[in-house]
Amino acid sequence: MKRPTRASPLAPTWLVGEKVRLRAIEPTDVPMLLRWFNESPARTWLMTRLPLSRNAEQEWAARAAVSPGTPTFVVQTKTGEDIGVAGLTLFGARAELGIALHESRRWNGGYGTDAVRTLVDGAFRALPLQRIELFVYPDNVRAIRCYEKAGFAREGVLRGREYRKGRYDDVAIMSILHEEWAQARTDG
Amino acid sequence: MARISKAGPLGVRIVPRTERHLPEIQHGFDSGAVSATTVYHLPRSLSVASATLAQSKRRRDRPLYSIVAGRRVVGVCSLRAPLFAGVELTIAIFDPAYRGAGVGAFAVRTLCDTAFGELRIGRVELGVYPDNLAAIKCYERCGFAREALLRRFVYHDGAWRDLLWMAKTSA
Repeated sequence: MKRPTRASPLAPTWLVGEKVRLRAIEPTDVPMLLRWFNESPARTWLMTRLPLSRNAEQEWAARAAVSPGTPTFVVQTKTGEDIGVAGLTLFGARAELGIALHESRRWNGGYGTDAVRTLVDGAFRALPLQRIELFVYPDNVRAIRCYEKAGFAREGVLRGREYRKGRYDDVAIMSILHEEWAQARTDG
Repeated sequence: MARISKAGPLGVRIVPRTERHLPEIQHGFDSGAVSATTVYHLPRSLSVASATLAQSKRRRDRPLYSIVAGRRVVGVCSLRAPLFAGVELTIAIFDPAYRGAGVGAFAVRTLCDTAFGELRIGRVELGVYPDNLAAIKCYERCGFAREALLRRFVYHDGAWRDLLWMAKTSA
């Protein structure tokens, strides 16, 4: 896993990668977030099913913007185009990572991998975490490849964890340990 | 399960936990008899145990049990809110004389019957330290399958340790 290079020594945050930066969510993002969550092709893989109202989205964006337990960001290309959302949910020394690239024209361009790397790197530098974990549907092959490239290892499959398409479905769990991140950092 | 189980190996029964059991359970945890295999290690107060018991009695889907031999509490088991899905099973046997005799398997089967039966929950899950081979064997005999090795998942005795995650589904 390569450590993201920073734009300049005085870059305002650590969350700058090679292709993307992660920026804070603002109230003005709500229409875009609403369109993404209700219409984007990435919805197939999300663990939220039902349509989201403007009010619900507004509340979510307001919470995500200020809650210290769920740091959440908009994934933006370095040319300034917003393409998705990525964030963490903190559980003590563990964190769960979530990401969705809603703009499908930017799929297969390495943006997801760079966003995951950037978030993982920033999280391990900023927070006293032991591990970062994530859940992914076993048939979401593209996402699994992305997570593997970013240094995540598959730990197993939880049977019947999520209900979707009319039945209980299996979910794979993957993780990256602090020591693995630190090792890659020294190597890379 | 508001009922008392039929008698199992060595005459033990799985009974709904009561206030009367709490001092013995406190002693069981404080004695260190199960600290190598359980996650929580700081002393627990009786008032916290009592409040937890009262809370679980207000809802039927988070039952707490004691494993008793006559009037004596030799262990505990419970179904609690899941880490991932379904319901999480916990068990600890304090008295070494009641280990290796099928008491654990009897308790696990009794709890699974309750979960899949009257609680209508489709999945029972549990975490176990990977070096606790006796427990893993017991769970496998009861129909649990290994699902994931959660690396560096719990802090135990001064170090981060892996946790083996297992589950049994009703299907």
